[in-house]
Amino acid sequence: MIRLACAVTLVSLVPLFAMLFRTDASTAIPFSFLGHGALGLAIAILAWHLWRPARLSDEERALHQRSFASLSPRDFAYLVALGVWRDSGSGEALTRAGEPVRDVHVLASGSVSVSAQGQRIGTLGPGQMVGAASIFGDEEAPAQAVTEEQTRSLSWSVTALRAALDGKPSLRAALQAIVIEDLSTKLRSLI
Amino acid sequence: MGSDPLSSLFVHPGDASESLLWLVPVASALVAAAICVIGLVRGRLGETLFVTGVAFLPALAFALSDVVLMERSTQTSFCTSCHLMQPVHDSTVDENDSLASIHVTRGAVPTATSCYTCHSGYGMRGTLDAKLAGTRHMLHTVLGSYELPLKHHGTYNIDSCLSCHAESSRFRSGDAQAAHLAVEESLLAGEMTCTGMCHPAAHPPEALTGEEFAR
Repeated sequence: MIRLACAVTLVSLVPLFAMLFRTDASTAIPFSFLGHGALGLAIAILAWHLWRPARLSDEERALHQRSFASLSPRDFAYLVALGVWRDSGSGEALTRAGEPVRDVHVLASGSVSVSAQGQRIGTLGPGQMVGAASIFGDEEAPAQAVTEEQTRSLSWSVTALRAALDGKPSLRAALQAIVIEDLSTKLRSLI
Repeated sequence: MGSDPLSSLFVHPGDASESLLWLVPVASALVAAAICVIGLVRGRLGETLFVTGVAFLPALAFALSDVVLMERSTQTSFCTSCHLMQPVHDSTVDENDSLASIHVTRGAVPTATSCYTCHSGYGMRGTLDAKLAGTRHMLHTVLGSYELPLKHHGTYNIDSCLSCHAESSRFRSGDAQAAHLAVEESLLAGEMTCTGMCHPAAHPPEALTGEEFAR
């Protein structure tokens, strides 16, 4: 949609230069109409991109309400579009201690066991995040996270998520607050 | 009005500001184009940059271009860019008995904007009406849907005459005042106009045929 709006805008600027550099009425006036029309179309595409209603599936809506309620449905739909839904069987390692975290996961169903230095630390359930701290800081996982059962999660590539958030500072800040809240909840469960 | 002026004294002073006004919309458009190229290549743009490059700067560029075009369209050269108007213009700068020639050759209307001066009504509404009429004329020219000889659509608006003459002492003097008062109702109702009836026709008939005007 961004590429389309940019392309239509570029097309609209061609008649603008014709308007300015052609001095005869029979070309300057038609080019004026063409240029304004194309610009109107570009602005309509822009408005649609910015304000189109967010469409979330039941599963996405449930995850939004559980873990991302502070985000607008539009912002959450943007995040969903960046990620992929993933089904993991029992015993699958989502992170390994000391290794770079490549993907961030939010659990929609199932459970994940977290352990460090051979000791079990806790269990994560639906709505909780795995590897989220790596979005904003540590690139290596401090602990191992292994699925205990059939698990469904919404996952993002850390690299892609960071790049997307670079262009959206307000979403970045909102997501940072959500990650902090998630980490706080995990710490409270340990005390 | 000779084509080879004797000195700069015989050249229209012109408006230097218009010659530079086009720079601003061009600059806005170039910046917008640069942002759009980045958006096309990367496939993503920050929201602020997106709105600036796709909406704000192009809208600014078009608004300023409209100002330039509106200003430029008041120039006689803009009107005569359509071939049909060239003979009409030639007749105004020629010494003949037509009302337009009387005004233009005596400098009563600016030569650079002679068409617009007489063919736009008074105030902003007059300007807008003139632009709409010009757009219709352009369409007729492009589509070839005009008829010869050219005819004025409806009665000529006497506001164009009154804007200069209404408060002139000659117009308000005894004989002239009485003569105009006698037909005041018809004039104000638009049933008659100043040109082609009591006063000479605005343009000689041979200038309205589309053929080259012989001076």
